[in-house]
Amino acid sequence: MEPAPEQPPDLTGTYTLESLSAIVTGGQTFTQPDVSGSFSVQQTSVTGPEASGTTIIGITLPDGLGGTTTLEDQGTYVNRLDGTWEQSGELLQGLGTYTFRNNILTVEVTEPALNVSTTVWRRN
Amino acid sequence: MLLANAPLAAQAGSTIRGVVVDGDEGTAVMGAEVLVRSTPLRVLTGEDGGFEVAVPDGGTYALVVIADGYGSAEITADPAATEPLRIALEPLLFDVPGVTVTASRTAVRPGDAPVSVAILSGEELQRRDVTNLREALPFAQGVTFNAGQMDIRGSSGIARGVGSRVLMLLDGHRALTGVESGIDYGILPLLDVDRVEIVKGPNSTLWGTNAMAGVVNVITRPPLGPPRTAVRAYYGVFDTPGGLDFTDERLSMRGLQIQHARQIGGAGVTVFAGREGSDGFRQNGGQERWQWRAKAVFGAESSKPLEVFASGKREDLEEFFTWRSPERRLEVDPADLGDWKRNSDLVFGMTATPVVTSTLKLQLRPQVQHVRNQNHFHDNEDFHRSTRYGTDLQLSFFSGGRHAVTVGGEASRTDVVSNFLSPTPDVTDLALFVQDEIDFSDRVRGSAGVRLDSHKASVVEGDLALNPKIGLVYEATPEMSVRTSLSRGYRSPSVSEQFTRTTTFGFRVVPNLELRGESAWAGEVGTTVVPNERLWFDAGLFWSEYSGLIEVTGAPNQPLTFQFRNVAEARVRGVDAGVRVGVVPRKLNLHANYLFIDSRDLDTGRPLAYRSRHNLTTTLSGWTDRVALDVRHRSEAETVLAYPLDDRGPITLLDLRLALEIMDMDVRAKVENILQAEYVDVQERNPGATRSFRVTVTSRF
Repeated sequence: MEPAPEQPPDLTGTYTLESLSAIVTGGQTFTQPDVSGSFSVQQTSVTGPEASGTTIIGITLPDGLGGTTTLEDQGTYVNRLDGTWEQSGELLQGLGTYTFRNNILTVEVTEPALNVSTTVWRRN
Repeated sequence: MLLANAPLAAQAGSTIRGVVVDGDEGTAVMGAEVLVRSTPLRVLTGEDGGFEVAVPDGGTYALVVIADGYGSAEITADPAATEPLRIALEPLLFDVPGVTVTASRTAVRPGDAPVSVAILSGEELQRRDVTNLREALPFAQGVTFNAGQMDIRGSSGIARGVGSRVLMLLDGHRALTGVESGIDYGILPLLDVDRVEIVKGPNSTLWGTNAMAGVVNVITRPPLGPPRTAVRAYYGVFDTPGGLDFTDERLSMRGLQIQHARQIGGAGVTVFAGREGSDGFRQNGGQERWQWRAKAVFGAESSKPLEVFASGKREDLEEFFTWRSPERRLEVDPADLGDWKRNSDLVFGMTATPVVTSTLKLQLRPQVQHVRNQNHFHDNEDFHRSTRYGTDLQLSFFSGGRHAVTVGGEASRTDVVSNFLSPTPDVTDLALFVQDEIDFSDRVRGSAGVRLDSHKASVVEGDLALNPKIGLVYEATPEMSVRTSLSRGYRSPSVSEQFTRTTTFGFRVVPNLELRGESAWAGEVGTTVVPNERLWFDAGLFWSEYSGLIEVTGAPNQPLTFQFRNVAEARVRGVDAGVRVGVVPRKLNLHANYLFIDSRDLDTGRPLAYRSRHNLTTTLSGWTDRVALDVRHRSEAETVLAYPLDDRGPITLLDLRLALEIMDMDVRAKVENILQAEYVDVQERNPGATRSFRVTVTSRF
């Protein structure tokens, strides 16, 4: 039996968007090729059960008018051993949970109400 | 003078005559209200304090006399007496609620109505030295403001002025904008205000839509007595904190208002004109406003006054949507710079009481309101024009015994022209209501009522709402009353919420033709205690269950698009308490309100957005308000809608007021946010007001 980890996983890397379901998608789950995006994560510190770092995010999704629009933001994140997640950017903020298994990062934002979303990223 | 007062429409009978005087000075009290219990008869005292009220022959009558700044008096009057009554009112050390015409649609003492009522007197507005009602209302018990939007007992978050859950009335006439159903503070008078009544909790049983969390009724003064002129001028500056400067210009505010009242023929006439302007404390936060109002009241002192009025306003408002960055919090994004809108209002109306007898009263309140709004934003030129034609009618029957039954109705039609409402609707609202106020005994009174509202916008399905209420008040002792009530409140969707199709500040908004009204069931247990002339205390425990709350959220299956939807079920509970203490009689008064809000979104389990659990206002004033310190405190809003990780915290603001009389002029100085607290004004990325200094001079002659 493996000992329980004492630190959260290091999420550093570049990710490609697999799927997105959010208030801004009108509740629909978009997958490639309807959406595309990249997520760069750089862990900068780990203190006990909490890690943090910087993020750069870019998502292109249908704008509902037949075209596409791109959301770009950069900021910081915190991931904890207990599975909680915080992401703070200029445009987007969210609190929720995450899982990281087999290079798949799934982020579920439960707060704030306008940013509730589930995003699935694959680490390149 | 007594005989000059218009006789009242009583059947063959007698007349009760009297004079109301100050209990200390013996001087006449003008404008005191004299109510004849268990009847609709109500008169005002004239310049000499005199009144006369015609009553049917037989028996004696209980008179209730109420005047601002005095304790009420209740006496028994015998019409057969030959000598006029002399009624002495005892001056109070501080203002306490005296009379309300909003709580039950008839004039009663607040303690006689089974609902919570807070009152701001005209004198208090003057003492608080405010430039509009929005600055004064946060000091009313149970009221908070979220980024400029009024909230009673945690009912409302922030919706940028759309869809008010508080019904604003001006002399009983609706004072909400026709398309947004928002409160337009620019149209409300200030110099002419007699009192502001705030009835808390749902009052849709009497007042219909929007009265979901409460009703605010701004009551203007009856034009009585000799000619009077008031001139009010103010000038102030904003003090921008170092490091946040965004302009070399001195940011200022200024205003000039003139009001004149006199008797012309058989009418008391009041005319008002004013111009106000402000650069605002933040970039793109300026405003300029012209306002005028004219009112004529025929038979103001009688039981059958006829009031006609007209008012207008034009204001240009710059728009501050969100700050540029936390470091440049007083600046807007360069793309937003120069965004502004123009709002114009024109209102005509009248209040007629064509029939008043000792058992019957008929009142009509027709009104026409025309509103024009034009945006000049970088991403939209939205405009709308709306005209609302409506009337309110109520008929009250007084049995002379236990019951006072009021039946009535409202009808209105709103025509809209717009380039962003899709489709552009016309709206018809109809309502019928009935209420019975019952005197179970001298100490126990109750009321029960119900109202049916129909709201129908063209193209979409209409709403029908049935809003009952029941209430009880028990006067345990002359010093203490206990009240309880259960009622349902309702708000129909505003035209904006239902039909808007636009892009504003980068957000696309689409109509929701399925949108329905929102509602609330609410209960309350409260008490008012006045153990002596130095202490007044009121508290209420309240509980509300909201259904179908209308909120902005994502439009289903429409990416990057928002719409108003019936999304939330919520519960709000709390305590609403107020105390007024004459710490040192006529030298030092303390006025404090505390509001505890426990709110819960029943779907997410989270507190409702933008509500603070703890809300406290206090005013410590000395020497009849010549010096006063105001404190406003609210704890951190636990939930916000977009940026939960931004720095935010509790808000504590201190204001200092000074007053002097110089050459018969009232001179006031006010420093707001004296400690230069830097804070987010509840709504994310919107800065709170910086410190400001203002001097106001008012001359009355």
